[in-house]
Amino acid sequence: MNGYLSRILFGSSRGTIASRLLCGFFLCLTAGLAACTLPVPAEESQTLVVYSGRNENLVAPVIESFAAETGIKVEVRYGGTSAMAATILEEGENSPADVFYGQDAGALGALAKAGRLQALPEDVQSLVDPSWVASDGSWIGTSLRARVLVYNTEELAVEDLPANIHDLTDEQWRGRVGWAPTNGSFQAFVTALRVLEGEEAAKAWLEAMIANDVQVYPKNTPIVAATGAGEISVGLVNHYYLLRFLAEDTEFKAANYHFSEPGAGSMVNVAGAGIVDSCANCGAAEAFVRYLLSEAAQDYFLSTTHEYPVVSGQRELPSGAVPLDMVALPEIDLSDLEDLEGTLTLLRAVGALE
Amino acid sequence: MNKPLFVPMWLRPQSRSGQARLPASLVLPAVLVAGLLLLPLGYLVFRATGVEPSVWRDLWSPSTLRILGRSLLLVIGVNASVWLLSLPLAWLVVFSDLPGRKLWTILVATPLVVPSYIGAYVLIAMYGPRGLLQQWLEPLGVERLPSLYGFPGALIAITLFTYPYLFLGLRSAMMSLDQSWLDAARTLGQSGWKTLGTLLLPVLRPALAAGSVLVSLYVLSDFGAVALLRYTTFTSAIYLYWQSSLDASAAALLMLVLVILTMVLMGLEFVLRGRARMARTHAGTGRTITPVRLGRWKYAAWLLLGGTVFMGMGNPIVVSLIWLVKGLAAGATLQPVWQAMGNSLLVSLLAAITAVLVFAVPTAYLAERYRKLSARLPARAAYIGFGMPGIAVALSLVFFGARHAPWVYQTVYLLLLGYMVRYASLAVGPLRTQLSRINPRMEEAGRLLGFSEIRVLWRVTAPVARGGLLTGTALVFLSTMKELPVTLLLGPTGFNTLATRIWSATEEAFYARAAAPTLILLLVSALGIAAIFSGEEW
Amino acid sequence: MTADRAEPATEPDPKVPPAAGFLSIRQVRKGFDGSSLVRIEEFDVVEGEVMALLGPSGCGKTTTLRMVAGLSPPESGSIVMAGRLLDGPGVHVPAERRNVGMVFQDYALFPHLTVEGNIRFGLDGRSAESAGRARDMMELTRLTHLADRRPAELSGGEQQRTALARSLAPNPHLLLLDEPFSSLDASLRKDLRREVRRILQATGVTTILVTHDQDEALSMCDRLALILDGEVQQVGTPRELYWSPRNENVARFIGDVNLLPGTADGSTIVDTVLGRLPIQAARTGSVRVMLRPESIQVSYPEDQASVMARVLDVEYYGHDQVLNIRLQTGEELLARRDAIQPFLPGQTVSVKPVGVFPAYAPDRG
Repeated sequence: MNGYLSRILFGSSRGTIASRLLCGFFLCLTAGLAACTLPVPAEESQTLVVYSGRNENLVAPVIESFAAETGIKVEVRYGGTSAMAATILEEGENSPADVFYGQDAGALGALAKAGRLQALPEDVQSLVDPSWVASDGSWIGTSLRARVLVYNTEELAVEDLPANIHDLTDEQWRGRVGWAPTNGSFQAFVTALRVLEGEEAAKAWLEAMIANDVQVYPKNTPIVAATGAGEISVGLVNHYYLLRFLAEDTEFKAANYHFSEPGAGSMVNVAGAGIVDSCANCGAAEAFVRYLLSEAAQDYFLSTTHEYPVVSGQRELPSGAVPLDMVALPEIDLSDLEDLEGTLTLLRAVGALE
Repeated sequence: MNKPLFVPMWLRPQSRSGQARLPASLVLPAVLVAGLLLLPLGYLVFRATGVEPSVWRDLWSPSTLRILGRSLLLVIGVNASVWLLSLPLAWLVVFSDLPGRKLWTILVATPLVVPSYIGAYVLIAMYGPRGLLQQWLEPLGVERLPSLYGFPGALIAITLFTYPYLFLGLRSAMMSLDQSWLDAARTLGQSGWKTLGTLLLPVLRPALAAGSVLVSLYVLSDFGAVALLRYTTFTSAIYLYWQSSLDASAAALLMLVLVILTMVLMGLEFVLRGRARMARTHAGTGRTITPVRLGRWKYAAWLLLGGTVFMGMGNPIVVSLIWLVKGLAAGATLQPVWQAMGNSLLVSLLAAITAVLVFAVPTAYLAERYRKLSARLPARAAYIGFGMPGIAVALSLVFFGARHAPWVYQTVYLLLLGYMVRYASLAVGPLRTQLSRINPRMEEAGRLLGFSEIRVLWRVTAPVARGGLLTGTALVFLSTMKELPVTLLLGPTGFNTLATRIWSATEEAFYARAAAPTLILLLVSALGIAAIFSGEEW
Repeated sequence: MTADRAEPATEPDPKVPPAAGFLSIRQVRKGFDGSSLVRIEEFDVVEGEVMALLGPSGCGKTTTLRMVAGLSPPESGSIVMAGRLLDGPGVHVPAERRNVGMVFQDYALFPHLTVEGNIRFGLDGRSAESAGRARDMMELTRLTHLADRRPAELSGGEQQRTALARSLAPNPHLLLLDEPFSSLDASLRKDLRREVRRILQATGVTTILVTHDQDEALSMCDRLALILDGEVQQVGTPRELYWSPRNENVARFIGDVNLLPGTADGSTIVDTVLGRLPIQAARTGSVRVMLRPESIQVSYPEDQASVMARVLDVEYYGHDQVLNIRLQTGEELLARRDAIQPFLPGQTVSVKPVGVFPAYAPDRG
């Protein structure tokens, strides 16, 4: 085999030391592969499988402490929220997933709509304010993320900032605003806008923004980066990205601003979890969801991922974060935000998705 | 061996028709593997059947056509710039007397490993309107650099990630050129420049065609770079459609349009490649090439090579180092990446070797030696996977694996199949180019010495076509090193690679954590290519 | 490898048509799809002989060779070697199972292997026996000192000898040489012909040599077959084909010809301008008599008894010379003479045909 591989890949008669070494290396790799792919059959049923659309860097510590505390073995598959939800949809009944943990109410809703999430026990649902729980109880919010306007602190002071999103269509903001129309949180915000102010007003606002030369980014992070760099002055984003930039670069020149008037611009979205209907370890799955709502996990979200907790308690906010009860929240129920199709049609109609 | 096994009727020429028969021992594996590689296509068709009429309306809207037009514009632009860049680069490392051509080859090829989402991000960080370059120039009064966003940025970024496809293919084709051809052209009174047009380009046609197809398919299937650089293409539109609604059937329908585009491109490749055989016809064995003296041109050569390598590898390295330093200064913690590195190397090398040996060798051989349509189909089948966005390939295999092959689902085996579906086509082009240069008499000589066709393939053809095999191996290796969606969805649960680490860190703006794996990815890939090319004769 | 090879069948196979030679080709058709057409009714090679297939390029000789090798199967007909049916209805033994060696026109040496590697390629891997065989072959072909060279580092002649040694090493039943000298320069060619002839004699292998060069065919082989337009015109010894060609086309292809019109009276004597000439078979009516330049004796001083002619032109070759002469009756003839006696254009000479000549019907121009 060695000689064969080497002849094909490197030519036997040359037989340089390097090529021999490489062949040996390949053989070791193959052996290693065989070892690492041996199936783990018997234990499988005792291992909780989580499909996480939430980033490993954010939630791995919580999952580890859950495993340590309960003794339940956990395997996590990380990916994008929509990719993970789509994976469960494609896998069908054979899905190895017990829990879906995502950071976008849209993906949770899509799974629920396809009947792939089973209802959570009443006592779990009751742990959280009903506005953060799916109306059919199929998924539950585990932490909150607020929509904010991130702004460049070199260029602007709080007094210069608009009171609501409509002010951003003023001439003075021409070409200075960033948004991410392809992003799930932004789309949830547009849905909220449609619900709160009606279809026509939402359309008018989107068109006015586009006419005002709004800058398009693929997602939140580049908007925050561009704002800090001064490429744009302000950006419509989720609140916690900035806090991560600040953690790595204390001189990062940007801050968050919550619109002073209540409206879609200051709405709050959820990250949440649900138990997959085909779960093999439904008990462990329930324990996991419960753990995400525990004091320890909620503390972790607040202090480390800079999200707002869903279970109330006395906690100290990290620097730069505004307490949620001081934010001018709109009156809106998350289950009113299901009409994503309508939002996409609207965004497409005004040309925001090109 | 004498009695053929089962061979489908359409592949079986009439007995004793005088035409060479397709050998079952090659047809079977080729058809089998090509069939596996076509799984995603089957999935798309299956999914698209559930599509609602409203989607058709969306599909045929003027905006769809506009976006499609934009994709095609980018395809044309990137091809032009990749040709302009790759031809001189390949020429320099093959024909010139430049010192360190081996090292340059490795450095010039390595940018292929930069994932497009990271490459585009780095470009913005360096050359964006308020990027690092602007910061360095600020003392000179530069407030803002011209915007990189839109077509120019997408063009630059994708050129930088794709030119190695053409560069490596051209290089391998140029190395198999015969000095006597070049000499013959000179004696016919052609200067060095003229031979480029009259001899070099025509002879390199297969390599140019194969490379251009890869580049074009990459442009069509990429969405990471175009999204960051704010240039909406057809694929980014599909991705958005799918991501926002999780509506697989609508996305599948749109992706079938992409598959049709892929087929059109392959038709173009067929025309570009030409029908001529390029095998040497004279007796004896070719002599090696004598290097061309660059003279004063060497400074221009250094500039071109150095500039390319800086743009491709230097930028990511500089930006990663800055992230690393800033992050460490702010107290960010790093994570060990040794396991991810091991995994990356393991699956990439295995994918590369499997793609070359199991898929590329039989299909390229069939396509090149039996020049009939049926013999060429298996080699073509692989391109469909390369022209599809990775997420589509991944989801189709999730569907297939979870429902019909649970025993391999979420194991390395299905992951490798996923890599094959995406990248096996990369290995076919260089090999075909090389095979078209090999004198078929040599294979006949092997058979007359008592070896069956398939054994001759392994004992004569493969070693002689080593350059093409190694180039194919390098291309698949580099591409797999950076692969993301298939790895995330099909890998064993908890399976980490350098690419998933980088993605996971940049996704949530943990740039310091992304820096180390990015640097290691570049380093390890460069070493990997060096090792792969160490088997070559220089 | 040697184990794979089918030994010649010891008992006659009832399916195998009766064969006259070691290799028998019967009713073979090939190339009706448009490539060069081959129709061979009957062609036999005797064991141990060197047979040449001679013909102009495109006549189908290489196609015939490739059919024998098993590289391109005939469309119909049969090929039998050593009592074993290689091609026939429903039968096609692949090239690798025929135990046939072949030297290609361009040698097709394996560039990734050394001379020794090339020669050992068809032998059984690592055995001591095969090493010995390879050594013997290198000795026979005088390549021992080049054993470790790559083909790219060899001269044309060395490459050719390597190709020969490679094809002879597995001890083939039949050796095929496809224009083996065509890519060598003329001075080298002669030496190599002699060298190859020596090697073939030393091994005693049955050989088919394809060539378009009549000198090569005549000098190297025991028998030769002339192929024109895809059909075998005549098979015989070099002497037979040279002196008794079956028709004018054969005569013209092998050597220079003089054709003299004459009248036969049903016996073996023909009246011509050169007098009454003996012919090989009885004929009646007008015929054309073929005289080789060698059978026209030219001399001076003039011999009044013979026919007179004038020298038009002299081609001097060193070993001999060819004179272009014109008879008093106006016919122009070629005559070959030894190189010793000088001739000059304008000179008058006497002409005397010597021998018994073939004669053809005059229907063809």
